[in-house]
Amino acid sequence: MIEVKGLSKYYDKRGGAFMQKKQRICALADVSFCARDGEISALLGANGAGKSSALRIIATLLKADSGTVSVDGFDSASEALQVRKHLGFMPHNSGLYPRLTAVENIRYYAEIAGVTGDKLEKSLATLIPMLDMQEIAERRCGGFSQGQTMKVALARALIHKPKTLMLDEPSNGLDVMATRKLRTILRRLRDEGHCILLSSHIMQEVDALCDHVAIINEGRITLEGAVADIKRQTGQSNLEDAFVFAIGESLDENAEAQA
Amino acid sequence: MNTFLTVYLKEVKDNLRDKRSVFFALLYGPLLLPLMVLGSLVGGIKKHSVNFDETLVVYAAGDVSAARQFLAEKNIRLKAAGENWQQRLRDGELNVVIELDQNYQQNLVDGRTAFVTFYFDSENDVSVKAKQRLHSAWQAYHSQLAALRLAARGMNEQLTRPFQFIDADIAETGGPEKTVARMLPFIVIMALTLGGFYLAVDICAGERERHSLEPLLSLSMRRSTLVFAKWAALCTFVCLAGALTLLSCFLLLNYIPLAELKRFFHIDAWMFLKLFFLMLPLMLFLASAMLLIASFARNAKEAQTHLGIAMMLPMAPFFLLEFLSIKASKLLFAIPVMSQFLLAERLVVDENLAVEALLLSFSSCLALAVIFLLQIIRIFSSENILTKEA
Repeated sequence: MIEVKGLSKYYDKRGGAFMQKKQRICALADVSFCARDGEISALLGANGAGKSSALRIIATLLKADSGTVSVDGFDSASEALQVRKHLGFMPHNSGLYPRLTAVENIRYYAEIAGVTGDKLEKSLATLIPMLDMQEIAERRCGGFSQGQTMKVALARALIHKPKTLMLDEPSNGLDVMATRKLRTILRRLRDEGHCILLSSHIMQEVDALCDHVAIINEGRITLEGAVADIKRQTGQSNLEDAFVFAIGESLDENAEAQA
Repeated sequence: MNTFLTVYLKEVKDNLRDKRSVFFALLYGPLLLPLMVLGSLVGGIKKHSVNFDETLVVYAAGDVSAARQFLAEKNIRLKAAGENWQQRLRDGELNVVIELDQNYQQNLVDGRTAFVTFYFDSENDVSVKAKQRLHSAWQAYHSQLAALRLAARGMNEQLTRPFQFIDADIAETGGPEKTVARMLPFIVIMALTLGGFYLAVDICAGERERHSLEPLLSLSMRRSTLVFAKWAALCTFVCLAGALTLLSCFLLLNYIPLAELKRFFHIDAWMFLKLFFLMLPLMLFLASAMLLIASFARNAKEAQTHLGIAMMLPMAPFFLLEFLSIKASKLLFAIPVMSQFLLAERLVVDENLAVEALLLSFSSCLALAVIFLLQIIRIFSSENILTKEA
């Protein structure tokens, strides 16, 4: 379970011109949301809304300027190593090692996470067929397709059997069949009781997959709840319209184009 | 298996599969570089040195019987030059031709100057060397005869020689020997930097560029463990490059059939082993310096540029010592790379190394390596390592 309370994050950005002062840019402002066990939750927002920053703070990669994050009861600021142990994180860019095989990539992460010997072999024996990776398991990752890359990255995030799984834009670049396969895997993990938090800007994906959604816009949570509740609260019949309504934009596409 | 070992073994395996890393670390630095540098060095020595032990065959035009015995004592054998000798000399068939004045014998008896002509081809190295040897042999004969002429007339030969110059060089090592002695550490240090270059780029800036750093840092591992493991992998490549370079230099210098080199170098396995241990702290220092430079870079291309410029620095002591005649002082032994150059050149010419100089050299290298490592851990612990735009 992930609990985020009052999270704020600012970045210092150097000005483009010579001797220009640094600018302080707000990435997250008082962000609070919750992702429960046995549910697929989503941070839904446009590009640059602050989704990746929020996930990176939860994964202890960035430090928040204020607010708290708790993963399975461990505080991400003071118990970073414990949080990392309980979390499986698949960032936006999966970052595989191209000269290592798929299995070597997975083993590397497993051994760092302390999974070795029979435990590791059992996990591999479960994950490889589950992710349909038999054909690519012993192949070097350089030249893998997006779908194959995603499978290896997901296996790497799951190898230490984390209770909580975080995925940053998991379906980016995937074709229809790979996306459907990913959904099946995530639903299966949810049914096993895992807490899954993903970030996305694809409405159809979130609508089809997620139980709980937090809409984020310009670093602030504008609406949070079950997909059906969000539609009801905004008075819209589909999630895309509900999202546009929630971030305060016009629903009239023609008016937007004219503007 | 502990985390350190896991990361270390992965980095070593991953980079052994990288053709560029392997080429530069294990082939270019350790083998091609010594061949190129030592090859030109040996060629230069061979070109400018004369072997007095070898019998020299000199071709004679006309009657040279008067000089035959004297030249035979100097291990120079005379042969008739034959027809058309000038053309054959130009063609390289003959190396040097000697011609005596028609009145050579009579002039010597009468106390007059006798003319001796050496024909040679200045474009042919063999011909020039043969002429030098012949000239030097004749010079000794010339001095001997001059003294005898004066003595026969009741005069002291020292009358015509008011001064006798004696050059007494008090330098610790001689001129040409010094240059030769500096070449070995030059090759080794160059090979060390080449050995670590691509690995440093790959395990630091490369990791950031291919976005593998973010998921790696999200694992339950201390940043210091990650840095130490990467540094250890880099040290392995640098040390391997150093050991292989010393081995290939040892084999090259021992199996090159050139007696002149043996005069300059103190070549034996024990000296090379001592040289390896002398270079060991420098290897650790260079590995941490390369990792630090690569960790500042935003991507692999930037790291290659920065490291490419930084690679010139270890070469600086060679040129400073060679061209600026810097006198060795205690302070120089505290400067990494410079101290290894100074100590290595002493080792190569079989001088004793001062314990104080060794301690200064080792401690400065190790202290700087530790400082650099702490700085790398700081960089890896900072969130800038992920937020810096690639």
